[in-house]
Amino acid sequence: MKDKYDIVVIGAGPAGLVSAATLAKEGQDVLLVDVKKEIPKVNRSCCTALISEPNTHGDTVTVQNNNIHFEKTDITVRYTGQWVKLEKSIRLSPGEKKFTMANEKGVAHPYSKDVLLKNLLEDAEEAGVDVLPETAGLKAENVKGGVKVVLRGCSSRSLKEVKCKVAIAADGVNSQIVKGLELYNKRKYITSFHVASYFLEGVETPYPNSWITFVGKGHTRDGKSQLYMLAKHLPTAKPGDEPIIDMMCGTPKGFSAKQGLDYFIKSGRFSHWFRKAKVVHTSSAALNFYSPIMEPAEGNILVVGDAASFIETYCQGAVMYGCHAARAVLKHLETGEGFKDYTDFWRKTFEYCWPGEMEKASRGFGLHILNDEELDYIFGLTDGEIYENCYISENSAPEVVKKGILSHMDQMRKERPDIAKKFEALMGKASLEEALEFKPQEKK
Amino acid sequence: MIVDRDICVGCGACINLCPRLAIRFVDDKSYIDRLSCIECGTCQALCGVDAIYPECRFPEVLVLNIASDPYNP
Repeated sequence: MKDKYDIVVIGAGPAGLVSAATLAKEGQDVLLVDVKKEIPKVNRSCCTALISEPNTHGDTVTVQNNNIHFEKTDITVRYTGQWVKLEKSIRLSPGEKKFTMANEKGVAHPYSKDVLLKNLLEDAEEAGVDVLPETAGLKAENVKGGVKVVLRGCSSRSLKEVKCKVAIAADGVNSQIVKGLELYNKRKYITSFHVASYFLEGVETPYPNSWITFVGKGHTRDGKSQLYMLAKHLPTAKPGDEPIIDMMCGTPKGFSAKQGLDYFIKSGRFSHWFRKAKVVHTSSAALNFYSPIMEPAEGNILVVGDAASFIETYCQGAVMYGCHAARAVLKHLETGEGFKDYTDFWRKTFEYCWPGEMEKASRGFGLHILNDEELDYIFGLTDGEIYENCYISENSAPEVVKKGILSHMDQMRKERPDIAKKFEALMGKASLEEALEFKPQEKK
Repeated sequence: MIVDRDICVGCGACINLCPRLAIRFVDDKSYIDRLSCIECGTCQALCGVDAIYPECRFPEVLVLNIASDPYNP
């Protein structure tokens, strides 16, 4: 390790690895740091599902010869693992009434993030990136002639300063680097969430190869948690292997995600699915939701991927923004104005930067103002229907659910005017805060 | 605060959310530096798998023995 680099990338997730590798291939001297010892090992809860919906984050992503191809960015990312094709996306109420969205091409294609990171890390090391594991990036500061990055060794606890021309903050949704920047003060805190997830073998579900969102209060004891289930492959899977089930539980502050998950599996409405199930891997995550950074660049520091986003950019978005960031950095080093391209692209393509999108996505999950009996009634209306050509994206799926339910409004008004009234209020007027049942706090 | 390393899954959530930067990864699991920790409980509240506890994990089993003096056993 040296004292001076051209580029320092903080965080070896999809965005960090891709930007580091792209820059190193162009002859830059790149240092990549990450807190993990084994960078490809993922212990953080993540859906890791590829969404092929055209124009997700401004690009269309497809699987080509097992690799991931980005149409507009024009890159192909090597992937050597297995794919699962999810055929259906189901919203399931406690009474097992459902709202089904389907796509013959697949609503999403889950993959193994471990394998993806392993492939990306191999590419980065091959390109000549100086990879430094077990090192945390604490702070990046604009100084004369470049950026000063403060690093801390995880085992040694010693601090080290590294100078570089450009620093890329790719350290994820709870970014430490972003907290030290001026642009952090412009973000609005929205809510906090923590997640626990189990990888389960031997689950007997009547909906194989589906993404299931469990809607309603009856699934957990606290009534606040959100449960998701999807099929995916373990990193060790070989062709022809049966996928395992990833069961996720997200809870707001003050509730235990793991207790919610245990309750659902042992004594929930669908506990009979899990009678023979065995936990093969546990992961968790904590997320602080802030409004997205509109100008993810400050001086010579560029903020990439989840670090600048609301909720997440998905792994595919992180890869794409990482690539665009690397191109912007190259231009910045030449002309001094490259970051404008990236910030414009970010604002244009990242959905949550557009007005109203945060509210729209939150409202999709806002069905929780209805009680379980009302939900069973609403999903009972749509139980036999299948909505085609859908994806699991949080930007478009809530709209489909909304349209699907609104198409039954006449019947609802006749049979259950009380629900119809509640539903209209929810879909029509609810603001982001109401939809989340949460008032944003003033940041100190 | 103390991390139960058998329960910790190593997701890294607490590392960047610790206001004292007291948490780091040792062998890909969280380790809390007890000299820096101020027992604020942020990490305990956000841990998804409930792996973090205050220093005194089972207060109910501590029996108060007035007669004993911990400084003069």
